[in-house]
Amino acid sequence: MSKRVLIVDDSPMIHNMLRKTLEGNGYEVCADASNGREGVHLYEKLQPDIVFMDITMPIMDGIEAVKCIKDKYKEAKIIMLTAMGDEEIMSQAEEAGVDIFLKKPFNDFKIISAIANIV
Amino acid sequence: MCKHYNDDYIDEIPGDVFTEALYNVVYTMTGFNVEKKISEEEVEKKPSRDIVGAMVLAGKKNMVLVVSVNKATASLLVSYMTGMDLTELKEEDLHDGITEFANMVAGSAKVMLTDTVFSYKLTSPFAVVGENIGIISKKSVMQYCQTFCANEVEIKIQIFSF
Repeated sequence: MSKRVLIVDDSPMIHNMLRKTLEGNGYEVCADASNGREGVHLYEKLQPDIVFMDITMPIMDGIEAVKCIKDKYKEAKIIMLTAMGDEEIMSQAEEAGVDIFLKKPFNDFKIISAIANIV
Repeated sequence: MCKHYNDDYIDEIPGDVFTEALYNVVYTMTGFNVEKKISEEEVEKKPSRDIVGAMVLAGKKNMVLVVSVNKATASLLVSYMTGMDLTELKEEDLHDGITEFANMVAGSAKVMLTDTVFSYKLTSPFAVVGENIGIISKKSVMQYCQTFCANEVEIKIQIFSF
C-alpha cells in the first residue's frame, strides 16, 4: 500500500509540483490544505504517513501547525518545505518538532530523498 | 560564491547575490540555464511584461525585489515547474507561480546574505498583473536591474533599495 501524504502550503503551484513528484514516485496525496489550521484539521481526520508543511501561510503558520500536530501525535512525520532558510527559522522548526527541513527551490530528488530518510 | 558584504557596502545593492539566486531557482525548478542579457536595448524591443512578482525585504537596508515576465515566459516556467500542460494553465496559476518564484529567489538570496549588512526578513510575496506594466521609481532610489534569457524565457529582476 502506498504511503499517504498531506500537503500544507498556500501556493497552488507548490501543491501541483509536489503532487506531480509524489504521485510519479508511487505516493498518494490524500489531501491539500492552504493554511496551518486546515492542515492540523486534515491531519487529525486522515492521519497521513507524511506531511509537507510550508511556514508562511495565512490563519495559522507552519511552525504553529507543526506544534499542534506534534503535541498530540508525536509519531507524525513532518517535512518543512520553505523559502525561508535561515538558522533562526530552522531552529524554531526543530523546536516545534519538524523531522526534516527542506529549502525551496527543490527538485524531485530532494523530495524523494527526504521522504526516504524519515519513513 | 558572493563577496562578503560588510558595513562598507551599505550603499550598494548585492546584485550578484540575487543573480546567483535566480540562476539557482530557475535551474533547479525548470532545468533552464538562463544567461544575462547583454543589451538592455535588445530587451526593450519587446518590453511586454504582464506579471510582476514582488516582495519587500526588510532589514537594516530595506529592499524590494521585483521579478517581471510576460505571459509566455510565465506559462513556460509554471508548466515546467508543475508538469502541467500549457493549455491547462489558468491566469491564477501564472500569478501564483510568479509570486512563488519571487519568493524562492528572495529566500535563496536571504541564505547567502545571512550575517551580512544586507541580512533581511522575508515578507509575503505578491503579484501585480496587467498589460505592458513596469515598476519605476524616483531617481533617489537605488536600483539594480538585470534581464536573463534562455530561448523563449525572459526574466527581468529589479532590486530597489532605500
